[in-house]
Amino acid sequence: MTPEGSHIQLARSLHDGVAQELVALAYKVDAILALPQVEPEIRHQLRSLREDLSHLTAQIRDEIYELRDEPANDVERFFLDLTSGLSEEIVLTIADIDIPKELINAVQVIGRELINNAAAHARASRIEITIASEAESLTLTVFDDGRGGAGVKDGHFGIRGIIEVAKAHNGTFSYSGHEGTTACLTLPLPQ
Amino acid sequence: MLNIATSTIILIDDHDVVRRGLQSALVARGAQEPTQARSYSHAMRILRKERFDIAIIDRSLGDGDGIDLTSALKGIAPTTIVALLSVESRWSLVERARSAGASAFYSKSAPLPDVLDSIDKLLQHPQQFIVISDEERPKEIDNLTGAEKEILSLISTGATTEEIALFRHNSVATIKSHLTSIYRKLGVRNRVEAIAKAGG
Repeated sequence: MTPEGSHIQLARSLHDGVAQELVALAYKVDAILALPQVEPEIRHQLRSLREDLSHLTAQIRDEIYELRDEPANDVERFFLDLTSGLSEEIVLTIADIDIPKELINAVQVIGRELINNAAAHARASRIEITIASEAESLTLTVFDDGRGGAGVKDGHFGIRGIIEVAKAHNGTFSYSGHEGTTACLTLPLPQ
Repeated sequence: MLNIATSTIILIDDHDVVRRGLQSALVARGAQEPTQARSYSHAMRILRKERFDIAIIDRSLGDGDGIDLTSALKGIAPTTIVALLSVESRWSLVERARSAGASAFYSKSAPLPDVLDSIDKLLQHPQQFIVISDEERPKEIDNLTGAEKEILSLISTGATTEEIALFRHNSVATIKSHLTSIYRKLGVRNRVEAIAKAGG
């Protein structure tokens, strides 16, 4: 999961900018503290300044963590919530794109159906969910390493529903049951 | 006696201000002027030609990862003592550094005299692994075996089960059984929760 959203960029700029500047300032204080001629009262104040600088660096570090841990968008948050209780290993890769509002519901409904199928029927140990975007389309791929095709069968009620939703968006749905199951939904991006 | 003053040192950090601070602290301790590198690739160019007693490496270099650089450096010069410096000192990073062959992992907020005292200690006892960090390590981690800790630190990087198996020369089944044991010991249900627990 390495979405390059704006919060990730902000985390990086905090890390490479202000955090390093604070470290350098703290090192300067360390250098002054190492001088033998510094008087005790000043030394005392410098130590307190040094502690404040360390504390600030730690605060910024914690903010960097929070920024990084924040889901890139609501769709990522949805899939994180959906998969958090599963015992299968989950690999979630969501491209850093603004998923058009018109498609969010379709991606979530179909994603939930495919993940539930894989978790309920495939006896998989890993489920990979990938959302990617090309020039004119958005793809949702759900792969599981279980019994090929177990969760996705022609005529299966859920699959009929998926195909209907895909058609409603002029999209396509396909799957292959070779070495696990790969289900792929492609939706054209709205003009 | 081996100490900072008698050792050859390379400083690798992409932040000029931090490198300057480290350099003056080292010189103030009587060290020779350290060699400096400002990136992963710059460091590799130097390390292919020269040997050092100590390498002080920033964990996050602009063009690469300081922990990967540690592995590469230990491959070329196994006796060089590597000390990593990092703004972030989460447990999983520290564990990766240890696996890569680093001798120390210091939070960048740690006072420099403590860092330099610790490097002096390492020169006397190079087999030690020293951590200076104010970040807590979850207590459940202590119940994990060495292999489990390493695997947990690897999944925190986003590595897949297959990649970990390749990396550790294990079968996929072995890694899966380690993962099951890790989840049980950490009281979590899956990889995402395990990473969160380990603070990855």
